[in-house]
Amino acid sequence: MVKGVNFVVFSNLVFLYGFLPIVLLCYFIVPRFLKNTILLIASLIFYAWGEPIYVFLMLFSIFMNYIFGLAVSKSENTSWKKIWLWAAVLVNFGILGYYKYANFLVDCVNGLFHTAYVLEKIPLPIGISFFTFHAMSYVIDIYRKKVAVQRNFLDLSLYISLFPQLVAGPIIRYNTVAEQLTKRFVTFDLFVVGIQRFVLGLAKKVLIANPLGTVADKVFTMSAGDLTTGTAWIGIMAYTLQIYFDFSGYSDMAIGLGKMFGFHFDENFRYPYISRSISEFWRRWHISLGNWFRDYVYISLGGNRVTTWKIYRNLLIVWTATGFWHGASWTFMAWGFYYGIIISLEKAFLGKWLTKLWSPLQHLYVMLLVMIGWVFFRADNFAYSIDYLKTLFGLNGELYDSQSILLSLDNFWILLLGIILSTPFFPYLQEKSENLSEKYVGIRLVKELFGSVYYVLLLFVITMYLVNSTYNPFIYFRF
Amino acid sequence: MRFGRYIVFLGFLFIIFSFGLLSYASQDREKSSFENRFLAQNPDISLEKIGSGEYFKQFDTYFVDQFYKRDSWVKYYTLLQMKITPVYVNGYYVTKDNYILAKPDEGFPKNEMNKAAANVNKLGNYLANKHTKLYYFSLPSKRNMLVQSLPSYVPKGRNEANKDYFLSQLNPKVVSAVDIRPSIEKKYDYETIRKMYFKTDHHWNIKGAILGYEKIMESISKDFESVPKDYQLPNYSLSCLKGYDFIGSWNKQLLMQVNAEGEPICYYEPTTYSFNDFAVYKNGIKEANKVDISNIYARIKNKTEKSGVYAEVYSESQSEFNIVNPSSENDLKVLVLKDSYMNSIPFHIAHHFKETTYYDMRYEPSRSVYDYLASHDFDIVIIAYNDTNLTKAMYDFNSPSK
Repeated sequence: MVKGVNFVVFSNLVFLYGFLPIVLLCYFIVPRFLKNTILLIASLIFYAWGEPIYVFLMLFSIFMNYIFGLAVSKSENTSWKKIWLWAAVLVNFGILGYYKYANFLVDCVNGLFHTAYVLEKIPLPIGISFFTFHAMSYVIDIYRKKVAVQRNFLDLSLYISLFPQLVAGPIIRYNTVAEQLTKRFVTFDLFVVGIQRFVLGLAKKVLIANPLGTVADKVFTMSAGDLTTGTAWIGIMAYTLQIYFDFSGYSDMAIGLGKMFGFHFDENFRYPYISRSISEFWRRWHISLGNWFRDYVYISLGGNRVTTWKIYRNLLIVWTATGFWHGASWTFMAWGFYYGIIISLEKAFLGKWLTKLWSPLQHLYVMLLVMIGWVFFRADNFAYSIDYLKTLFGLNGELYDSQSILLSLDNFWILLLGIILSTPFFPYLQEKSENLSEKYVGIRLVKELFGSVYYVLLLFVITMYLVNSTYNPFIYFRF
Repeated sequence: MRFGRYIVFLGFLFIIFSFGLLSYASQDREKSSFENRFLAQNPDISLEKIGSGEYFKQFDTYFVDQFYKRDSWVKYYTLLQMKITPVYVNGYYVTKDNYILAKPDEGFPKNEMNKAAANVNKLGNYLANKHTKLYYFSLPSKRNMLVQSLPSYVPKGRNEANKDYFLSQLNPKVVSAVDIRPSIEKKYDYETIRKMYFKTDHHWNIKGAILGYEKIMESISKDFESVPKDYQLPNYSLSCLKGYDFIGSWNKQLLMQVNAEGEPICYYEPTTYSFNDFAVYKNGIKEANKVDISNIYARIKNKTEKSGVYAEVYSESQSEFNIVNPSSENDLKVLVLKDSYMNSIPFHIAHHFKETTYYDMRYEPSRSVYDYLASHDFDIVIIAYNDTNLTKAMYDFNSPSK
């Protein structure tokens, strides 16, 4: 039998052909006052499907934050507001800290103090980083009086657990959806735009990210001694594209699904690989995370309104924390700190120098630094990262071998497609065809026809890839 | 004129609803012939399974296994990959003349090979104490032998190096190890060697198998004078079936997208004796277990549809079957621990001994090889595996099959 695959992702046959049709049907046939209930039940089932026990943890988190929100809102005394806020911060980060970072902290203590404390591996509930941040943004925004408290427990539960953004973002700030929880409309056009966005996101994940992920996995599991420069470059290119298409594809799916149910979520990626500085890169990459840290950590530390050295201190803290959010290990923290340093340098003087550079060099600067960062992000440990980077820049190993040739030949088209689509080439084409179709009826007809059939065909191809990914032949049975 | 919206809307909903419904409504299949495995069935539901998450995992597996027209989806995927991928599709490379070749192994499972070799040596010691000779024959696999047919720039893997390492770990005092490959390469050029393997399957055909048989018997007859030496090729005549289609195992992985038309299904039949002279027993040698040879060998000839897999062309792997040669010139009893490569020549080998027992460990869940040896006496034990079969379960002579 094929090992159990978990449908707590959208790129899954059970989600696409089981869960989604049922939810859509139920959602659109019930009267308006039941729509949120349907979505909430669907979201809880969606989460429970992958985490039947931890759905209760999420419900507990929702309940605690509901209470904290009410407490912060009701407190007239500023001190009490602060106390409740800090309580919320401690409980939320306590839960996140326990499940995500406890094992890492124990390892650090053992390493530093030569102790031998043992903590059984704590399982990491899916999406805990996301729903914790959602909940935190709710309570903090109440404290800052940016939003009114949500007295309807079901509506707050829906906000935190809404399945389109529950497990992989974007991090939706409560103030952006508060009104939509009770007042939203799904028009035909919005639903269609949602479908298109969802299908494109699915295509990014299944047709580009997954195949490139196979390449990246193959290269990054090779021992450093077996790598050549050519293979290392193919591996990091594959990973650079994989992580973009995986993450942005998932955000597209979340945004598309949101639209199908009448929600408007903010964009989370804006073609980050066309950036001309690292600062710009982080304004285009995982925008919701960057904004969260900016608004709730950087500004809380004083932001830019402090002395110069503190600005840089704040930047380093925020970026190290950003790295740490991604995973409980030193490599993730180092990765975050690495960006903190670069952004600080750009802020200090490097940014000004960059603007004077020839544009292609600006892009090259960004891509090199980003790819170097991804090596640390992807590798299992520092030692491997360093060896990998040495090989990448020709300081270790051969220039290329038969493996490099095989990988480049077998993956040439997918790499090329990935590079092209990581730029705004597709929207550029859409804009051009839009302009032409306004002038010529014939072109408009062709555009309408092919532009729509394209999505349907894409869904077929995606399904083909998804079915094949579960193909599990047993060659030697009964031979 | 924005009719495109309606196409997207209707197309999307039609697809997700119809395939969902069809998957639910269509009858569940028990097996997949392409994947060679049983497909998951609708899992039983219980609170315990829901609480542990096991039910959801099982349901996911069931849903994807029973997805509507699953095999067709994989077939179209394979077709697409064959168009766009220059080298490996689903891990296979197809040459211009339709030979399907598997990706060579690149790993070096040293610890596992050491363990397997140690088990063979231990078996050799055990058998030596029982005055039983142990042979290990390494049969040249297609995956290894035809690696030259891959494009020049493709890594050729470590199959041959792994085999050499494994053989070097066998103790010559208790195991007579013979690598069949060099004797074939010495006599035949590469193009001729290619023709010794099925184009679309992972096995050798009878032309390769008969050479393996020759070498096996040459080695044994050197040590045992009473073993007849009529194993040379001129003692056999080649005949091929007409109008039959061969279904190769690797072609099944590619959803039969490679044209295998004309792939010959041939047999080397003896000229000086007949396989029908032997008594064949499925499992132990008892009258109740006696079967006709057609029950074991070349079952494809009895099929109404004129197509078959390797197991139907030759013999199928099963836990035990015995061949008794009443006209044997000796009283030797031989146990052959084998994989499917030996399925093409069981009767050829059996001609040289009084009793030949074929034992495939993979299908014996009730006893280990040692259990079997404890209750049976043999003069010779042969381990005959293809040269990519160097580790794991088939060397675990202490345990029944899992």
